[in-house]
Amino acid sequence: MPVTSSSLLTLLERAIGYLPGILGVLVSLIGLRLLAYFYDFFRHWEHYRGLPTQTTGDLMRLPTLPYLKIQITTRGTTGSTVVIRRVIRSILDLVYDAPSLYGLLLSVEIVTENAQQKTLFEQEFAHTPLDVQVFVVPPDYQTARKTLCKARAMHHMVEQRRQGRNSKPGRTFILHCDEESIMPPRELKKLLYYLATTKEQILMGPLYSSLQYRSASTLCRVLEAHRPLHSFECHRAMLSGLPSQVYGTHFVIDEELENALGWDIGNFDGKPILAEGFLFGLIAYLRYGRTVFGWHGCSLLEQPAFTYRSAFEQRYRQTQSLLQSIALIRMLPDARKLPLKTRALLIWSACYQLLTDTLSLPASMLAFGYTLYQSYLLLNNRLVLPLPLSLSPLLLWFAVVSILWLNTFFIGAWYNVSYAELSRYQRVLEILRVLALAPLAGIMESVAACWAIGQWIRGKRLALWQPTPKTLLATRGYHASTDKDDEIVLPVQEQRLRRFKELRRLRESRMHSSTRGKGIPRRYPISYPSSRPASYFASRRAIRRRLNA
Amino acid sequence: MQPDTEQTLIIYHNMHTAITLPEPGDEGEQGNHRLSAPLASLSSINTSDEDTLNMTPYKPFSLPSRRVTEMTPCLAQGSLSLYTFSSLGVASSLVKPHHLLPDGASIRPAEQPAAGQLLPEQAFYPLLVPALPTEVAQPAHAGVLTLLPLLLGTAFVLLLYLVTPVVVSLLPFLPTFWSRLLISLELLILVEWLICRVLYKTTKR
Repeated sequence: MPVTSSSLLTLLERAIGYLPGILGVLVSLIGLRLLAYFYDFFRHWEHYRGLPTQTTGDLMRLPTLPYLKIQITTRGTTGSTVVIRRVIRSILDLVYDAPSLYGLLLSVEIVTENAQQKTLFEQEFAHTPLDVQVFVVPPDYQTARKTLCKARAMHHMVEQRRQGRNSKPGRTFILHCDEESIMPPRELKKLLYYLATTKEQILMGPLYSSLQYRSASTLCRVLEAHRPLHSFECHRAMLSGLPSQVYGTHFVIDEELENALGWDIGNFDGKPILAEGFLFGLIAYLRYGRTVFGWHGCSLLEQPAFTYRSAFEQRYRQTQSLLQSIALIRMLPDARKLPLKTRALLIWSACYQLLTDTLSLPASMLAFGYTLYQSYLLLNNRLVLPLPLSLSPLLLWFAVVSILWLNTFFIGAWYNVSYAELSRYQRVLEILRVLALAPLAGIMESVAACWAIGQWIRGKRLALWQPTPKTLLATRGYHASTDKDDEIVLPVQEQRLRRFKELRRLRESRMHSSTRGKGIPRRYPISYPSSRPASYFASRRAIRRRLNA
Repeated sequence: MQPDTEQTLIIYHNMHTAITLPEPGDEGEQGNHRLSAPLASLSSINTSDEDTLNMTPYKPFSLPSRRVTEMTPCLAQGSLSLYTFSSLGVASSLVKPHHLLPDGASIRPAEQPAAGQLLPEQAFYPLLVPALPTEVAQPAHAGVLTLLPLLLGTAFVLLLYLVTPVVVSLLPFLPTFWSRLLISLELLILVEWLICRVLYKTTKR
């Protein structure tokens, strides 16, 4: 049968006729997740993020105080030294408030695969009141169940503690951090206060991407606005006591419980398990029930990925870990003994999260086209009802989901910028930027989830412990290296020398550019990126080329 | 603007003096907006013998957050001689006696074991604060040029995702354009006010 233009038009019209129906299904699936998020946001905001400040005096008045070990688990890749040093200094800021108190209660344990970091950190902080210990995971270290990656390093630390290393005489908690995670001093005080007054043993708190906020690319900043959504979901999971959605970092665990459980979670068909936090929570749930879980509400600051590529790979790993969790629930013998309802809840919540992440791609694109067309009609005053009158409640539902979706970005951006070092004007600008780019971010974020699912279906389930580069320099090195697993780790002194050379070259090039224009001083301050002279960027590019070479 | 304490040059009394400079990774943070600060201030420091400077063991300390409004190279009186600075390559003209040690502050040797109760007595001062970016020379229209596209983009997205869906959903109930638009805006303002209220209560001030 020959295809004519009229038949094509008819087909197109029919397809457009189905569009509201398809959009309705997609929007409804995503909308339910957003509704749950906003329910938590309005219902439990006081519990999610309590703001009463605790002072040192408040802490001193408590009958007992727990010890807190801040465990930083790192692979020791390029750039990690810098960010770990920053974390320790932020803790020192608190310790210097009352060294006799905090120096006793707090200690830092760095678990790394880079032996150079041991010498460096232990020497550097030897004369401070803060106890900093570095534990190097031996390259040939293997757990009984052949656990890999981060969980392997964490289990090494558990074994050290079981042997009595750095043991404390009272109740002790361990705050698990990534290498760049900072808990500000006032939040640490609140955490100590909360831990002294709770019986819960596994606690979590909100995460914000506020560190080095403006160093990240614009798209990454917009993508990070989605993070509080996950924080609220985690909050709901911890409140319910069913660890269906937990993230791997910002765990506060009672040392006794951690030593009893360990992190020897095995591997996934010979490949590392990325969802170690979820699995640990699941094992704790199976052994101790719901009562051990809690929410402390003290925020931890992290830094966003600097480039879209890093952000893409981060999302890719998150989706892969979610897929792993679903597979693990089905495989774990203990999980099979769970009641059907609990098991279904665990599996379906992960599946639902995956589904919404994936469907965001077509839904975002369709919704953008649909609302664009409707806005055009609205501005021309030619708006007509797109659905029959009987289906008009569906339009109201679309409107509600649309409002919730955009406000998700607004809330995320608000939280992120409120903890970043920005002026009020800059905060407003950043929030406007996030809102302006939200439709694009919605599409770009779900691309990674779709890609990860596609790779999983194709059987490519290899996952590596490759932390997101924490500095721009490391990002460049990371992107330049072809073999991700063989990350370049330069000796510390070599890094410093390189840094000095780079800085000197930069300075010289700037001085040259400032004196070039017949003695006229440079017009724009170098603090404004958009106003830098072209010669500055040329020198930067030259440095980058040399570094990559 | 608050200077980054990591870039602050610090004297820690009777310990190995050193100059803390931005780390290679810190360039990430400063690359966009702050890299200039230490460079400008250090332009007068002779770093020709960078290996010596680099290898010098030091005790980097971060100061508690404090606002420093002016760039004043200073030296705790009686604690270190200018010779020390010249050996480090710091021009003596940069350093001048600035502060007296506060009452109760004492100088302790570096070899002293780290004892928490001794540390509060030790004082440390900024020797050289990185030059703050000058607050002049930004063109008057630069702010508007940044703000305007963002405002337009945000207005477009708000129209697309907030106003239009609500107006369309009110089509069956309200006959005229203006009534639909006004009621939509009222509803939206109410929702946003509720959200901002919670945000305001859950954000540090």
